[in-house]
Amino acid sequence: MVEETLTLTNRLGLHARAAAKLVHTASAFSSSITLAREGDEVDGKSILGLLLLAAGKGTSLLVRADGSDEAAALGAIRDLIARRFDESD
Amino acid sequence: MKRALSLKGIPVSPGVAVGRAVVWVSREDASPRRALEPEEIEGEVERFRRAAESAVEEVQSTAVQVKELLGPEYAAIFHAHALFLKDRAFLGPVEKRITLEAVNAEWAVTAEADALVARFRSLPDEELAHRAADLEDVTQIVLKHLGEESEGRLKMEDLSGEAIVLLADEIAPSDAVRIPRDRVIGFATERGGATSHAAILARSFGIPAVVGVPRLLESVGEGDRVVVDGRDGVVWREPPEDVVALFRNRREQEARREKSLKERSVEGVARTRDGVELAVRANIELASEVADVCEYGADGVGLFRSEFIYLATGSLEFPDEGAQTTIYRDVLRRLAPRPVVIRTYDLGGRKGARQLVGNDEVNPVLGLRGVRLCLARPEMFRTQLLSLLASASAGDLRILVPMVSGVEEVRRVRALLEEARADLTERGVAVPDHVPLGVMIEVPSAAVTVDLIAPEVDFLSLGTNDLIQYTLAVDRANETVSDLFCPHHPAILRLVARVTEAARAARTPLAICGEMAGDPSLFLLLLGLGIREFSMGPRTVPNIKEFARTVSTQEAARVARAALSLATPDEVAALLALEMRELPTVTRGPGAEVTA
Repeated sequence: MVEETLTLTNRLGLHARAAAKLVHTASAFSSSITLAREGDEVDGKSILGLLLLAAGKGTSLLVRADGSDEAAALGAIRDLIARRFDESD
Repeated sequence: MKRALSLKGIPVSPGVAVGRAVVWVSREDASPRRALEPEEIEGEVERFRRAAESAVEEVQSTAVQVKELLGPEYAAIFHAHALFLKDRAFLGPVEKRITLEAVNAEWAVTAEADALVARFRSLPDEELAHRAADLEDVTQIVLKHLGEESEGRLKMEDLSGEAIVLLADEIAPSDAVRIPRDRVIGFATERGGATSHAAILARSFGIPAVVGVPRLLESVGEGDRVVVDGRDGVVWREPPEDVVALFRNRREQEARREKSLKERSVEGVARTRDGVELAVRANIELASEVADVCEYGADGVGLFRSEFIYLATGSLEFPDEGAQTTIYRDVLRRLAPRPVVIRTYDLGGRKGARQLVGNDEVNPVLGLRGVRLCLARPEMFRTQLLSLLASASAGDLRILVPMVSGVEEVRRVRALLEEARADLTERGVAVPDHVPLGVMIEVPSAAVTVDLIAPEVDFLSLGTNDLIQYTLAVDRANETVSDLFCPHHPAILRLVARVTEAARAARTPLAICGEMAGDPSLFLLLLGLGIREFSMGPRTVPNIKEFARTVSTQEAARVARAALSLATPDEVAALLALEMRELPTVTRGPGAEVTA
């Protein structure tokens, strides 16, 4: 299992489009992936879960990946968040 | 046999229907709870999974179409919907409920969705709270697929029998459009108003209808013999034989009268007693009504509600440029040389365009609709403008723009039209030199500044339904204020007078296309205020043409002057009632029910 705390820097935080991108990214990996915020932990492959985290800009999330491709999974999510979900603003 | 009973409602389409009641339940409304036998549970979970899968397919194919038509930004919403439908956090709890509570899928889905919607709505972030509406949409799609899976649900196309009178809580426009006219001879609903789309379609189809009938569904049941009186707004359950005989008699008389009126209407143009020629055209929405335009002797089409091309398909598919061009060309050709005024998409407000706007508007009627929505969705609008211009050589086309609130919008539309024309010319498509461009005067700001707008357009069309709604601040579809929706209000009379005057000063042709033109007493008033071009439901045309021949514009002007001096809608209505009684051939006719 690997984990890392990542902070959202894009303007809208984990809104619908960003959440959809995260689900797409996470779903490509076989590892189980979770994100936690202040103790609330949700499945990274569940759009409902991600949206209900209501994580805005500046929120720090503890991302955990557990499985055979866990390192790659965590890396992909780190990149996505660092690229601000490829949003233009 | 049950006791005879009569119920009163709002008459919205004239005529008499004598038939058997069939209760119509639209797929979306009832999600009643059904307890399952233990052996049904597994099958039910399977049924739910299949419905969820077909829902995903539908949403994904919609995403592709939307991406092509409106861009990837809009398609993203549908991608999110597809994700909801695949999310174990949604599917799991539904399956669990079906299994643990031994309850049907519709109930389980609705219950889970309601719980999730509540959680979303309570989020402090507004954008996330809006996702609740997405969840509701997604739930509807699943319910629709569940409905298609089960045999119990009725589709309009499946109604069997003859002389069916449909009874319902409400009939949505997309269902009304599919009413099989060879089997259904009338309908009655508990809800709805005179200008709801089901009512407008009933008039187009020529089938009697009564809406707003309290306790209809409690009182009348499946299989009961029913009479629908579309003139007086009464629904009879198991009426006595002598009552039925009276109605049959009346129906025959009305049919004879209608036939002779039609013949006279087709013969020629309506001229008032003092020789003024009037244009009496038809408001249509379905290409299938084109035949009615000719059959009822209308002088052309004063309003073709093009958005119905889109709404009637019941899906999110916007016809592409080629498909639209074909439709418009066909209508123009069949009616040539009669003029055909095609109104660009009037979507938004309540007309099924939630997906286009992207979120829930608190006041859809005041929101992104009509020309505003078109200008905000330039690709969609461009496609329509290209199609219209490409079809223009097939007949006498005039383009009408809805919901204009000021001169700036007119200029923007003209610019887009010029671009479209240039595009077509470059492609080698022939476009007539002059295709008239007009705007609807329905937003009060346009009515008040019509002197600024008139010089910039080729014609004007008064949309009284919405003008009344906006000026009097009364929601057309809201039954609780339907009494306040008054065409006779002094404010409306003054606005119409003002618009007619400005049109005359600018020498810009002015027509009226609201439903009020179909009511003889209001027609008289409008004539008196100076209107010479009218448009209404095709079936109302013969009666109005006949009426027009019996009045003179001078009498009408006198009536209008008197009406303008009055202070309340009731006084105006009373004046009109008095004047109508004095006239030689007082004809209540089909249009009169509209303003009841």
